[in-house]
Amino acid sequence: MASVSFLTRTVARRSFDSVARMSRVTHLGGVRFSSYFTPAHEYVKVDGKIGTCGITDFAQAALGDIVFVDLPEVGDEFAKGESFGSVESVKAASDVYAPVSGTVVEVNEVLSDEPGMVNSEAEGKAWFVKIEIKDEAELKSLLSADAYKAHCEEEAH
Amino acid sequence: MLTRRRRRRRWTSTTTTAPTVQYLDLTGLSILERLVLEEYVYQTQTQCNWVLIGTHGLQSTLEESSPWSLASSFLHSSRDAAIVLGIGGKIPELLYTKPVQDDQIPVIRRFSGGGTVLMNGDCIWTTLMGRDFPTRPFYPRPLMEYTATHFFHPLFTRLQSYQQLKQQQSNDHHSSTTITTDNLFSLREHDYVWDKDSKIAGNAQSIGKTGWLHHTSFLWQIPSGMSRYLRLPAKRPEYRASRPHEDFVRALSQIFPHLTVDDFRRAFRETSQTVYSVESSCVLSELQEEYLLPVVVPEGGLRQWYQTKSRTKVMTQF
Repeated sequence: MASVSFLTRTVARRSFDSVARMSRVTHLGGVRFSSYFTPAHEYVKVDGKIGTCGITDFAQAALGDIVFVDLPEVGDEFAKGESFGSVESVKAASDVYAPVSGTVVEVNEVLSDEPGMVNSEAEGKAWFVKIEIKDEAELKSLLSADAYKAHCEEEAH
Repeated sequence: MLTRRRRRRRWTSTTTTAPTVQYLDLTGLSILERLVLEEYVYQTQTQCNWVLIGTHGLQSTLEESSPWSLASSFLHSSRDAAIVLGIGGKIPELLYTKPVQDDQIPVIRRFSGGGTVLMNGDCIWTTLMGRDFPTRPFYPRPLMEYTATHFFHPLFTRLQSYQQLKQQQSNDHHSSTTITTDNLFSLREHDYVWDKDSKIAGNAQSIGKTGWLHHTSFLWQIPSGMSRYLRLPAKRPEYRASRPHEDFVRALSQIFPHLTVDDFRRAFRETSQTVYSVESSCVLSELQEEYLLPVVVPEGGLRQWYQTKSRTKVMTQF
């Protein structure tokens, strides 16, 4: 019964393209960057042992105008799949889940004053938390860019 | 602590039969107890779908020894109304804090999104919780449309039929009140409205991987003090323009002058039985022992869960 709007599908396609560009494993001065995704539309960009987490462009489009982001505190620990915060949009508080287990080492304080940034910079400046990844093996169970793209296409239809 | 578990069927989205729900009328709980119990059911009783209704003030009918009691220690007030904010609500932006403090109105932050309401016993509070219906994944707007179309529009059609019947029975042919026979309930932007222009309820949702919760506060009477305590929100629907609260919201008692709160509860129960398959039905005020609710009692009681797990909080400093 739930349908995803044309706008959402358009945003999804834009998201796929940016994801495809980001997901290449790049070598930059010996440091490797990789992006992974969950079926619930969270992402984690891995830089060494640190993962930068947030919600994807697809998610922000489906949720609507973001008016509040509830984030944890530095030092909090979360297991993979555990809720670490929520975003509020259109009268709904939607839980956000940790893509991997770890300890929060940084929180994006900007979002407390500018939650709407999530709508424009979901996979860029509007990251939610940075975590020190506890078990890199958990990354293997996440979606690659291509798999996430296929997942979004299926959800949009 | 005695509990009673019942066998529950789990409805899957592949079936075409009505979702199976457990029905609770929680009238008798305090506002805070209702919020926290609802949050607890939503977060932990995930094997079932739930339909809840109730009217609530600050005082509870529960004994302090009840596992569901939060006692009076969490809300210090002699008033019978509370302000309930959404999870993201910022008090200085939403409230006139001095009158709120002077009048000792408790302020509670709930776990769901949405706006600010002034709640008392004249508000009817309904909640729907779905685990696998209507269709995963769950997003706010489709859920709002689902609840409006599949549940509340039929509910208001039922209320209209009650009203017509009571009006006929009263032979009230000379009433100066013009009572429409049309169901003018609709969803406009993100609000339930009557006649496209008057807001009749506040809505809020919580969405997670275990399902969704949609709760609604219907004003049977307009509580006094709305404009005294509640600021005009900066983010508001376009159709509201700059109307103050009393000009924007409409009480159900004005729309249904021949009906009572009990009529609404009866219509709600009957609509639930029509839209869903109600597996169990429980009324708090009729129970002799509250721990026989069809909900697993948390370890340490609701008080312990409230202190350690709940996102609902009484705001003591602002």
